[in-house]
Amino acid sequence: MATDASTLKQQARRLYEIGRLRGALGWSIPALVLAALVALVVRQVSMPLAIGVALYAASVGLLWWGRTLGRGVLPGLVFGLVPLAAALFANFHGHACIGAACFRVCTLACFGGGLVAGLLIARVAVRSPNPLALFLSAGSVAFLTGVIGGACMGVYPVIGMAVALAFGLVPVALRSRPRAQ
Amino acid sequence: MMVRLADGDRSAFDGAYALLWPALLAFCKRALVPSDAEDAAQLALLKVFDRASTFQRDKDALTWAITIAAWEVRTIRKRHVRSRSTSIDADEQASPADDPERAAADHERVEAAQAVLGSLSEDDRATLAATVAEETPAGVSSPAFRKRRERAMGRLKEAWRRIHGD
Repeated sequence: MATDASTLKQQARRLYEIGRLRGALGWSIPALVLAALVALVVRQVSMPLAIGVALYAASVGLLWWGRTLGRGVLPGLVFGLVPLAAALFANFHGHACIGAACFRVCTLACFGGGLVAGLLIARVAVRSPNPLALFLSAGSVAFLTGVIGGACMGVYPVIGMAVALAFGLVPVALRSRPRAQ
Repeated sequence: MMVRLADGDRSAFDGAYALLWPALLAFCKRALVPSDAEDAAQLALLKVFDRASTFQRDKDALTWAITIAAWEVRTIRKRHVRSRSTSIDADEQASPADDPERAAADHERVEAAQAVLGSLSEDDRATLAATVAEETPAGVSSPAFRKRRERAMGRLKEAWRRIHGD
């Protein structure tokens, strides 16, 4: 077993990274479970699972990297349930009627869900020492979480969700500016 | 340092390594012979870094690392005990008559043990015999037997020291 100091240090470093990766792979499994549940609910497999895999990969990468980016995964996943729920709701009740005029509300629901999630993430991010990094990490996870439910409705709801989430950047930027000064 | 490492701050790695390695090596050297101590310390160090991402910030890092090292020490000791008992079994299979020197040494050891055991009371001998057989005598509670065994072992050590020295 006896190993020289530099080899031992390299081994320790490698095991540290492997340990982090193992932890990230395990802690990201809920993303896949969520995607599978959505696939069951919307009765469409390919799109939710493809985005679920992307969400899993993003979550693994962020958790493995750690620090502020890693800390953004949990709030992103939790607050991402808001646009996901909105998208699922729009999926089943996708139109509203005022008098005789009926119109689709998918984009509106996804925009609303994204806006709520963006503001909630911003609220968490401004308390962090690195608000922008936390917002970007949590925002991207929340976006992917929301898209699991919204992707099957087309590109406009997804764009609406992304734009709405980005509104959360406003309070983050406002709060970051005095710190920077 | 371990909290930063658990959080993913790679810049804490060198510092944590520099603090942990000497501490683990010193701990293992107190518990094992130097060659085994280094092996145990290396294994413990690698396990510490392997599990660094699961380290909980409310724990004391050194205590946590030493606990892992203690397990490694225990494992190595157990391995030694096992290999020693295997070699004793192998020795027993070989006929003592093949090696007159070994037969004489065995005879001396048996006589020495008999002399020490002979100086103990009948109760102490029975207690030690039950201990070797890993039995608890009927009608004796387990805590009472444990105390009796401790006393008998103490007297056995004392008798050995008195008859054969340290």
